[in-house]
Amino acid sequence: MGSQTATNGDRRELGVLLLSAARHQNAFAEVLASEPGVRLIAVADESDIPDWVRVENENLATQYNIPYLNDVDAGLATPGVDIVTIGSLYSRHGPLTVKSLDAGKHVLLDKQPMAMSDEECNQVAAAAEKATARGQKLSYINHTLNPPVRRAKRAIERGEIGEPRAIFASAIVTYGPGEEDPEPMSKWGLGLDPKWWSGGELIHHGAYAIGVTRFLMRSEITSVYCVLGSHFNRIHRDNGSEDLVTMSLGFANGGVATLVIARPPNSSHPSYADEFVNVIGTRGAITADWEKPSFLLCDAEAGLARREMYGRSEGTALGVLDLLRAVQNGTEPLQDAQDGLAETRVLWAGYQSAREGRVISL
Amino acid sequence: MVQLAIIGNGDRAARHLAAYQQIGSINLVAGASPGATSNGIPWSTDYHKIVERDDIDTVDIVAPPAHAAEIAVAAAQAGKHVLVEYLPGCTRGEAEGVLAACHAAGVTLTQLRPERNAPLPKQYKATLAGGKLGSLRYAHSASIWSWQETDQAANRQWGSPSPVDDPGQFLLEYATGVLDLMVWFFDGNPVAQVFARECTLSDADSPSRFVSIVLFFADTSQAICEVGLTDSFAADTGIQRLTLTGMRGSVYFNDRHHDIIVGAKGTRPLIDDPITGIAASLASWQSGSALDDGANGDIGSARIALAAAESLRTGQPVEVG
Repeated sequence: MGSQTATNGDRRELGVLLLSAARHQNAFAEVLASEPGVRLIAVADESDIPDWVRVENENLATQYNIPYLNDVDAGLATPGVDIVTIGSLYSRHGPLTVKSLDAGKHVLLDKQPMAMSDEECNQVAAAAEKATARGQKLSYINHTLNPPVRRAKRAIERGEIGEPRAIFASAIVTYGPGEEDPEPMSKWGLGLDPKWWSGGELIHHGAYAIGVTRFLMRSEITSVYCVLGSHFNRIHRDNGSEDLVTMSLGFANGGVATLVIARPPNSSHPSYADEFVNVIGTRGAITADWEKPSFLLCDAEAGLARREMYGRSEGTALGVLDLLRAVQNGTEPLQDAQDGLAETRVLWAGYQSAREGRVISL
Repeated sequence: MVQLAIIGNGDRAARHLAAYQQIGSINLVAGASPGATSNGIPWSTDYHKIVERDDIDTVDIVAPPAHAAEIAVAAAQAGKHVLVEYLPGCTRGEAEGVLAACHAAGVTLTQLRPERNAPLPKQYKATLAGGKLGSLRYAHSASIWSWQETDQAANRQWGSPSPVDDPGQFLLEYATGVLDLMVWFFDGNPVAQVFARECTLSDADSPSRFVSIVLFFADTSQAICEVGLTDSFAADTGIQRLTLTGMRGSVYFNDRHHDIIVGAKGTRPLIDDPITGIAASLASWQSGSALDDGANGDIGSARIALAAAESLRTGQPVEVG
């Protein structure tokens, strides 16, 4: 198992295996490659991946001058690998996580879902339990690390708004293909087509909202009601995948939450995404908004509103560094396997609720 | 000059009384509510005595949901025109009964729908009507305010079930307006399914209540309505948000500039004075502008609120017929 001992600040170099570049792996690599004491070892993936993923893998390997291994087992067996970052198609998240944990590695998983079914969730849970006992870390990209969310959590823990009771969370992204006709191999198609990703916006972004809500409510989700719609993007309408989702959650503490997840593309929107959470407690209320631009340029020639990204927290980097520091310092990541699996189960309960038209109890 | 009686108490009655003064062509003759009061006019704790007076022709009913339908029927049977903010009734049968009683008596039933005449919603409707958002697909409304003890006490005077203690009554009393607003915004798009949840917002001994209602339209458009009253906010402070998203754009109203509102530290005033909407609705009624009076026997948007209340009871989504 990869591990390190910190003695007077000295740390053994940590090796990273980049498992599949289907999504976000280039961002992981960029953050890790610039970290002192971290070395990218190789890119690896399964042999039965789509050709476009193979091309992404090869390009990433070339970019960082590291080998590309067409065999996950060979990748995991490569000497010096301590950490595995998984950026595969969602359908492979669960098995790759289990394999990596069983091989004794620390794991960073790109966003949810952690698994595609209850059975896979149980497999990941079992592997994670054993891995945790061995001192391994597992985390995933999520939005609880965003500074406004962390500030809200601290305010809640200090009792400033009393006990959280009602939450509204928005995970609405304002970029998307709209009426473009993105075929599966186009830029938008590779990013959104359910042929690759097994669903629509609920699977792409739902867990971000679920995770932040659960994090701030500080209670487990016990019931899920969910409805889906396809409206704003031709790719979603044509494929029957959702780009508008409303979830209503019930919590063990009696609290309630309502979530909206959507992708209505709007190039004039001043924010990259309308992502925020309102928490009403027994003594007050708090809002955390992590996509509101702190730098807004109003360009009279360009039009009324112009999106600027400056000052926005980079959630991917926060997630990568959170896992890396946990490994380096022997601490725990902010969100671990238990959190991830709890969110994953809610995600799939949402799809079940929408299919069956009823509330699903967890 | 309309010769009017008001049946009700609490904040809602106070707003109506203030709105009458803005209109000027309403002569408030008498009133009734369980608690003794006068407002300078004859007042009774028995509404029957008021609705049967010969010197009134119209009754404005602002009583809690559990009582409003019964009062409306009595007023109609006494030959009085009926004013309500929204069609009363805790069941579909009760609501239809009000329509039937007014029709049988040959009196008008007017739903004032003050939310539709408030400045912010009117502006939103104009934006929609102007096509600036395209077809509406998503809406979110949040309205969480301080709950004054006087209003709680006024509600409790009517006995059980009370909006203070009963989640379904709370929903019918305080969420019907925003649900009607959504029906108006979505303009003919039928609601297929409604789901509602509720919780308290305060510690056990303090009355507070919150409902979150999801409207799922037949074309899979969606709307979320959150309504809450709590004693943890200072008077006249709260949270108000309204977002509409259509196929070509969005419009937002929100007070997200606050990061934290804690108890007495919140000082932000109400955005829309609710009296304005009531006064505008009364003015429209007086001018004879068409207001849906349910003459065709259709309970209209009341079915949405009733479905939401049923969803609270059953814990499951309710199909809307």
